[in-house]
Amino acid sequence: MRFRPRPRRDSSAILFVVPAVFAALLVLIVPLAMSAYYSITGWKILQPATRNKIVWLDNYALVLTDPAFWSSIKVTLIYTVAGVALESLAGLALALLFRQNFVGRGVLRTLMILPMVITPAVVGMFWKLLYDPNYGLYNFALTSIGLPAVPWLSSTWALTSVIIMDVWESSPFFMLVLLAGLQTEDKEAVEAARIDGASSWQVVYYLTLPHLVPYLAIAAAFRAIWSLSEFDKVYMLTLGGPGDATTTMSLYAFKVGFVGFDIGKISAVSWIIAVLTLVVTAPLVAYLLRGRGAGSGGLRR
Amino acid sequence: MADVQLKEIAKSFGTVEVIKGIDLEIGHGEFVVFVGPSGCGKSTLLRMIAGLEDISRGELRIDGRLCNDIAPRDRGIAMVFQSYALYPHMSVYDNVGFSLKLARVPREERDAKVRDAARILQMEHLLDRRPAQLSGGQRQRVAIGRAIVRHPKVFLFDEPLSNLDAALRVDMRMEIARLHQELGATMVYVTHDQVEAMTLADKIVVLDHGEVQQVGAPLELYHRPANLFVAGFIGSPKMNLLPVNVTGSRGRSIQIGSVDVMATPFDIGAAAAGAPKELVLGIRPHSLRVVAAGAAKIPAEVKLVEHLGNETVIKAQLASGAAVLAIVAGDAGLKPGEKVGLTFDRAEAHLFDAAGRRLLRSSETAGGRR
Repeated sequence: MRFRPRPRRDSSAILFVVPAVFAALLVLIVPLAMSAYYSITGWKILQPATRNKIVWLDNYALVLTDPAFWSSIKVTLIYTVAGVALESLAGLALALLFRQNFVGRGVLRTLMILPMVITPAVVGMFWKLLYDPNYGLYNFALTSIGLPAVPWLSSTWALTSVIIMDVWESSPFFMLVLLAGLQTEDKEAVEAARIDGASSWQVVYYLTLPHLVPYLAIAAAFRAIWSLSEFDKVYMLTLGGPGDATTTMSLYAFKVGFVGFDIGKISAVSWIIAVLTLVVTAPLVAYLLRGRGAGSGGLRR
Repeated sequence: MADVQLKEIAKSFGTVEVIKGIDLEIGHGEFVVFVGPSGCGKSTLLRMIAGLEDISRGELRIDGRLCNDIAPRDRGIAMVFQSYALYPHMSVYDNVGFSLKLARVPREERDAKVRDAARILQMEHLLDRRPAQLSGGQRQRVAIGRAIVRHPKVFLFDEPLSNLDAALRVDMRMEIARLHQELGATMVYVTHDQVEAMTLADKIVVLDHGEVQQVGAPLELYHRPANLFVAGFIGSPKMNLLPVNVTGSRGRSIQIGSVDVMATPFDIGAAAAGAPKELVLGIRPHSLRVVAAGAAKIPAEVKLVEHLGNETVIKAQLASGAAVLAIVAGDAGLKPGEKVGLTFDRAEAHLFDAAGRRLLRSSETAGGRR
């Protein structure tokens, strides 16, 4: 019988892949599997005996019938949709502004990026000061021009206030992505449009915006994923209150897990959040993976 | 159709003047080609006519109207770019009809005009496609269609064929020539390719360092280049340029010669009296003939022979070590190392002074000089 060695390539390839597989197992697959397991147990930290008590889908049923959970989903969706929409518009306006040449552009552009690089928890504390009903800058500004003070962190205003803070923090991200997109715009096509009779606004409407669609989609996909799991700056600003007015899904999970120490339930909440995030961002991700807009001169060009 | 007048037109970027006061008249229906090496300012000049670059100084008139501060869209021009500059997310139909849509032309009229332009350019079958689905040649056709549909007074072309392969370039060149005949429009065309310039132009404007070197009909530039730059730039392969000395003068004639060139008389008219001592002799490769060694004005040794079938390119070395190119019809039957003689018809040779200006022969009028 002839000796036929297996191709060397196979064994060495496996060797190279092993560390990455190990790392993935350690930080991704094992925790995921464990959280999936805990989600079907009734484990409460204060009751060690419950650790391996299988309750099957009871946790999911508890969460899905909890009005506070549905309230957190509503808050999260409003926060995400309103935030991403406003940030897209503000980011686009800023990108179009900073594309122009004017004195001080470099300094201003750098300043615009600052909100994005500040730690979110600090952003939350900072805005708490700005929103303070008695000493805050906003109410000072409003009352000094004769307008009534706004109860920024009351149950009617709190969610709006949180969205305003998020728009302030995240619009620069859209601006950066869209500025990068504008760099790849075909300058000669813009000149051709000017010769064809397009005004500046028509150039933006007919050429620049269609060109920026894939970039907007990328930025929106990232922001939506981050917004759906928003925690830190909202926690610092409102603690999710008043009541449940600003309790996002992550804050709800936090309250369940670290106030009630109910590991089974928090694991179930986490899985529901993960599935929901996938469902909400799926259209955007599908759009990007299909390379839509790329064929029409977008990213792939 | 319109005429275009440039009066003392200049353009500066900061302190650098890239267009240095150009005067030019482009007549109704004329096909004018701006030609010159990279960085000579030809594209900048075209973009100034288009309104895409500000004019620092001077006057631009299109159809008699001062256009210095008029927006590109109101100048009555259309432009075709090197990169095609199509609108990537619009169909060919929408690309061609874009200007009409902006001008609020009624839908039926717009449709008729777009289809008419498509018919002229034989691209009716492409109307539904996106630019990304077209070849380079087809894209350039769409770009030209976009220009035609506006019925501009002046067509501007900025190196429109540079992105195409050699075969397609020849086809599109003929297409543009046909279009000019069919539309009779004024066209201004920028290229660095002298073959495009020679074949398309009614009038060529040779530019270098932001200045006009010569304006004239293609053959006029070929046969009577105003200066050394034009002599070297127009014609392929380049003109052979040999330094010579003036060894004597008599009446309207001077005698030139050098270590390479045997004493040869030249009739340069009245200029003979004050002719400078050092000149440059210019002879095109096609004007050199190969004869037996010893019987020629220029003794040479063959260094390289390239057989192209219909003609032979000979690279030869002269006594001073200088190299010249000669092109002879058919197969010259020469081998490297062979001693030959080169001769030329004095009527086809040119003399340039130290400043690079061509000396006129007494038979010539002053028309060829700028």
